[in-house]
Amino acid sequence: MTTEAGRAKDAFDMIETSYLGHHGQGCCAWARHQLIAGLVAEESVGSALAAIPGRVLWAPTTWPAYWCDVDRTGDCGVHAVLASEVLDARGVPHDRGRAIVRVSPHVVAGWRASWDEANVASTWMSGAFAHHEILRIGDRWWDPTEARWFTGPGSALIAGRVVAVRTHDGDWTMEP
Amino acid sequence: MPEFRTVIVTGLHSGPNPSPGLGIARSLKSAWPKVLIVGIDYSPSSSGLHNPLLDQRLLLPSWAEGRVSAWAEVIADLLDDEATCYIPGLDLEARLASELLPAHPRLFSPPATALADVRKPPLEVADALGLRAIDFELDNSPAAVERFLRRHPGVCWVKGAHYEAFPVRNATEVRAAGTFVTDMWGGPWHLEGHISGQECGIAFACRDGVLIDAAFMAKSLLTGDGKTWAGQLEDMPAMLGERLKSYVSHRGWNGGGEIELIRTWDGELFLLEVNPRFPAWIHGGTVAGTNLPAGLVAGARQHGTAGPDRAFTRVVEEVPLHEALGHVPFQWSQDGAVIEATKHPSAVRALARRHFVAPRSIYLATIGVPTTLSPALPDPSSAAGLETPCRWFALDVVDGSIAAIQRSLAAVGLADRCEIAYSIKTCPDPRVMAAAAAQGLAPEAISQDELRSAIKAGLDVQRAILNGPAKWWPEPDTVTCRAFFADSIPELVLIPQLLQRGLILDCEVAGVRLSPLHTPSRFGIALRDEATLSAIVAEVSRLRASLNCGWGAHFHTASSVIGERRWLAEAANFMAEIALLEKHLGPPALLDMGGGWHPNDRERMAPALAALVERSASAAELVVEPGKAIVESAGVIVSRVIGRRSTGASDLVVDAGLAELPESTYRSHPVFHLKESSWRVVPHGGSRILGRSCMEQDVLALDLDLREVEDCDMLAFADAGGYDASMAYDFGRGTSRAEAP
Repeated sequence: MTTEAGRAKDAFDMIETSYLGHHGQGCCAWARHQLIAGLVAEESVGSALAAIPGRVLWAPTTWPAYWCDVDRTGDCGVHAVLASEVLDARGVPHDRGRAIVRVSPHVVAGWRASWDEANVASTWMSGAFAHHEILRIGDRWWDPTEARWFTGPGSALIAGRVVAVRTHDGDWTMEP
Repeated sequence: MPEFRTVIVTGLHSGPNPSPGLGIARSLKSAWPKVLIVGIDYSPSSSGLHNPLLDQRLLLPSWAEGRVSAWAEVIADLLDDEATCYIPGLDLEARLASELLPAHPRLFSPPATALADVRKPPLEVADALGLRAIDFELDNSPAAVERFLRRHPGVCWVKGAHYEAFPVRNATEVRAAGTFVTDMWGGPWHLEGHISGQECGIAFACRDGVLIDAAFMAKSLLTGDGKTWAGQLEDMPAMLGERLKSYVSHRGWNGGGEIELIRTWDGELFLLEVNPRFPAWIHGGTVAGTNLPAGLVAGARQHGTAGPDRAFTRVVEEVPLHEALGHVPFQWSQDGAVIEATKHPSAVRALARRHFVAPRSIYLATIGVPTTLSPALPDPSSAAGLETPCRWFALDVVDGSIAAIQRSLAAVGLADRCEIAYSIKTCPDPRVMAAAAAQGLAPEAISQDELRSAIKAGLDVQRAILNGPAKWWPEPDTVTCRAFFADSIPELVLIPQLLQRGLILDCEVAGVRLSPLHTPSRFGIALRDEATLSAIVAEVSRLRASLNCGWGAHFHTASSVIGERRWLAEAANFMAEIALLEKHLGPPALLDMGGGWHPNDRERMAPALAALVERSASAAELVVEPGKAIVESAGVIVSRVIGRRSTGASDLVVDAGLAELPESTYRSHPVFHLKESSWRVVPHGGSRILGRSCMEQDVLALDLDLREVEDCDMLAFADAGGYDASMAYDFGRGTSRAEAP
């Protein structure tokens, strides 16, 4: 692992897995119902998961976030939460996880500018690397933002090249 | 080597609908193998990025999230090197560049003044180049769309101002395509007619208004989407070349460009569109002899590798994925829908929506609003007391329509030769039939019930025309008419049997309806062979003998559906069939030329008839059967608002519904609002008027601004006097028809 990648890993280890809070009131109950009911009603698990990035467009999100904060936009953490809820509802065993993705410098600069403009912390970016929330389903990894399976470190996503992956409480598996 | 050692190219996706970036790169490398090509794109799924031809690759953010200012900074940084130039491969990039990098000396892209011409339809360019422009309609209102479709039956095209072209055949498809264009790309759309012919294209290269070179290509093979698969370079028509030179000079065109054309069978050129970048087939031009990208970069004409016949074909090529970009796995979709990325991996539609979308006010400005009130609207003071829903007939409008048809027949010299028979089925309202009788119209009936109601309304049964397959139903004892036209050979055989059973039939003409030659129809006899001809001759001869009458024939196909040009063609075929029958039966006494003319086209019927008669040798008397041309515009449905769907700009529910306006599912009705004792046109907006029933399709009007309409206000739907009246039914009122126990 390069020095820069190592620094990114250390920074990303400080990030907790995303969970949406619940106010215990109608606002969050209704928001959760709106989001999850619509997804779970999809014909298949694949359709439901694939629908997530279309229902909730990828955009800066301030954490900690509550269900009622999720309107039409959310970051990969929100996508991962929704995907996990769908899988739970459908009885599909899975684990939350995370990936380190090497991103094109122009792309990460653009993201940083968008996050700065939204006044949202960009601690999920470090140098040319991005922290990305994913799921482990069986022996494969699922990207909830791009709606793709990928095999693990070394895989290419639209966002960039996956350098390392781990489950929520597992160890990092690095790119060979 | 040219002055530029490095060339930036974009638009690298090389899928079934490719952008020109890879072709530009190939052409440059074929001229100068050592030139450095920097490929910029916005997604690793852009296939051309993987081609080993590129010396460098730069992946910028997807347009779904990328910032135009950041994009401009990257390009400007790269162009800081004086030996680097940039050839955009995407239309939207050309527009962005003209905004954000205007007049950069190393940007080979048209300036804003030239880009203004590129908007569809490109009328200024057509005029400048001496090319024919295709008929188009900018007004998106349902009435304008329906009128355009009537004038251009068959296929038309919905085109966005900058992107997308969808073939459409009816108003529903137009609306769906137009909505897609607006939602996906922003901005307005227009309707364009279809020209059959060979697609051609001109690719050209300019530097600051000086035409360096141009290539005229005729497509010989196309993909299913109409993209070039093979083509051949031809000599540019001399005048066109001169005009192109003059045009690009006038506009200061810089960079590549494409002019898309259709060439008809007889060589006429119609302009389809103009694009502010090289075409995707640009490398085909190079291998066929003209290397335009190299010419652009060198600032002087560059020859390509001239193959035989100056022709090229595309081939599919597999390349290994570039290791820096990798293989992006399959993207799952909701319900298996095609993911946008497979067509536009760079998400360029998102850029259009974010940066180029016109305000909705500009889009709404493209929708024409009726400028006059319907003449059939009831007087406001009368309307206020009406129990709604109510169909209101303005008999003076009926009179006016009849008079207009009579005048148009007189204007072409057919007043004495052509009888007008009112088509009862269109609207059997006794008041309307009485008005038709008062104006001297004959009745046209499709059943004995209709004939009886015609008599009651005062129409002259001696002049009645009997048509359709149910003309003898319910079986009568006595029938008096001027003419009947059998719908089939079996019907011709049946009539003698009815006579034998005691039917007393008094008529002047016994005849047949003939099916149109090219328009599918369940009606009439298809006269396509000798056996059918013989059968018609035999049966009509027998009827003539037993009824002591003349013979005739009936032609009916709706010009409102197939268009006037095809109507004339079908009618001409009918006249040719009459000539065949005439050889055996002698001259016909009467030819019924049917109805089916749209109310707005009713005055076109007479000239069409006159043109037909002029070409034919027949001297037979004629009959026409206008129905909706007389009565459709004479009726309105007056309704009241009984509810709304939400607060604010909301859909409204009225007490009328599909039961009163059954034609609402496939045509529009102008809507008027009674407010402060006067009727007003309802302007366009984003709301709908919903009918009172529980049927999902009970939507009476779309795209209206209903903010001024209050609960219990009256709304009137015009042009509801024709089949809306005759096909109306009871629904949701707790009534039922008497049925057999």
